[in-house]
Amino acid sequence: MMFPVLLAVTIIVFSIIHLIPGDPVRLALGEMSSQQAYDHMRSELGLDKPLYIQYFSFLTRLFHLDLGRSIIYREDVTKLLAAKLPNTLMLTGSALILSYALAIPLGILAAVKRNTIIDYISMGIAITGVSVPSFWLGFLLISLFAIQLHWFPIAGYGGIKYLVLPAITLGFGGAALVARMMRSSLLEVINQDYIVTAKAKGLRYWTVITKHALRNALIPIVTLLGLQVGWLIGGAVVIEIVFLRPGVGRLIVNSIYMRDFPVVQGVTLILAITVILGNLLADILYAVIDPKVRY
Amino acid sequence: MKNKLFFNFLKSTNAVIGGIIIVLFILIALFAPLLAPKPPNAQSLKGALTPPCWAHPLGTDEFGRSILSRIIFGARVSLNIALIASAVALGIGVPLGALAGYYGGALDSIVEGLVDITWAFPTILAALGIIFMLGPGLHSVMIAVGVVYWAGYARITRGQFLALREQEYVQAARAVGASNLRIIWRHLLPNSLAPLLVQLSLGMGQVILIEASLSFLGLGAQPPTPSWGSMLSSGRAYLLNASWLTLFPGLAIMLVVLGFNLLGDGLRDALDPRLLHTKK
Repeated sequence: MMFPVLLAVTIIVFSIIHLIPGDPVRLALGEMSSQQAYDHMRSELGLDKPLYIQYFSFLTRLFHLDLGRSIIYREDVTKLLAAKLPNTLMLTGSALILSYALAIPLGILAAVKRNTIIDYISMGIAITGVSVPSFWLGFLLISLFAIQLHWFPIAGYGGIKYLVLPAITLGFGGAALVARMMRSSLLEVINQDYIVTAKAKGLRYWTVITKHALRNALIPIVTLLGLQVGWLIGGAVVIEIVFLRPGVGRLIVNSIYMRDFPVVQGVTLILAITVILGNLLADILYAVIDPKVRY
Repeated sequence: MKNKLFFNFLKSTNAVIGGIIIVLFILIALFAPLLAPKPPNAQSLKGALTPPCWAHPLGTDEFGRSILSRIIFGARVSLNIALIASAVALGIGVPLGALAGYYGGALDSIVEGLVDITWAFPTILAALGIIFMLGPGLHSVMIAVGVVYWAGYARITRGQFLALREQEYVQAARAVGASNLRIIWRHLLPNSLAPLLVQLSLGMGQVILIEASLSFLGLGAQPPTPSWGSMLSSGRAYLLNASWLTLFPGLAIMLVVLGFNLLGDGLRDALDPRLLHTKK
């Protein structure tokens, strides 16, 4: 299913320019632009050719990693992305690791101590986590840890110190989702016959949980990984604005304001491909962790 | 049966708390002109950036506008968008999911493919793409969010229809000559409402979060419309010396989304007796 989806994604991204109401070139250049500048940009973007040739040329250029040229920055979109994408992936990756590192122990603890105060507190944190606007959480963290305590910089880009608050902000919502899933998945497994047998054999409780229950309980968590990648990449767009990080999030928002459609197309396409690859990775991990699944 | 569902619902603390929060916000939105101490856009530059006090319980913003009044009127914006965007999503997703689940075959493959394609784009990115085409503003947000969220409703409806279409009561309806439309409308759809209702509650919370994010980016509500997201966006510049500008609108968003999430969770428990009677 991956290749048809990829192909469809390219068609949608290609169509963006044609679905804008009005003439995209006039919108980008402004009404006062000269006819010469208009004709030049129209020809540069290939808009003077038939639609199918435009799409074919779009695909051909894509295979050569050519995503066109930015109208505003006057630079190749590929170059712009090469400069910004690693920052976004670094933020997304850190948030992903952080969210799983926080959520799995929290979910296990909540399941093992179910219907106790620990369970209620853990799940209270989790449901609050999925309800908090991430950018607002960013403001709270900035107020506390940057403005009041001076532990971290308020915003900007640099070493690991600049990454901590954005990664926590982005990872918190994801952690909440994973913790809830981990708890319900482990609770389901704990009641299975083979777990009762393992307990009856006299194994220690934590051995039963870690060696027998956890492996099966982790399967839905791995499935969630694919969804998390998309969710975190989307979230990064907003978090980069909050923390003034130079990533693709800021790039796409600025480009929307400036009507710089080659950049909007390029960023949308690359992020969608990243999400598809994230899902593929989750599918592969799923097969590794669950021997019953074979592709 | 309906009484039992209502009783199950009341037994779920989460659902009751969530329901109360949502009803409160609906009342606030409905009676905003009566509840707000001042009109939401009434400026008083002399009173700009006043911290919370008796005269201004939640303080004032950079134009001296009452934060409390703007939050109260902001409830109208958020709930309106949640309602309309969810209606758009339901209006696209349920019919497509129903047709895919009922007829199967090529139609099912096409709808499933469309769902996969929609989910290839991160939600906010897809919404940004649509807003890029339509231009910034609340109407664009409603359409964008609705279009982005249709896939979840389609997947759920399809799953329900697939599970129900071979049930005996559907076969009986077919045997007595009921048309496909009648089977879908009178038999399958009513029996698919429970999971859709849960998804609707959880989805409305998500819609409010996305609207807030888009308004925060300056692509949703435009000034001077009192929207919680745009209040956070303009308050960001005053984070160092007037943190109340961002604190209270954020709390309002969190509370209403928490309400929808608790209600959704509670509804799921109430509608699934297996979950209600097992020790969670």
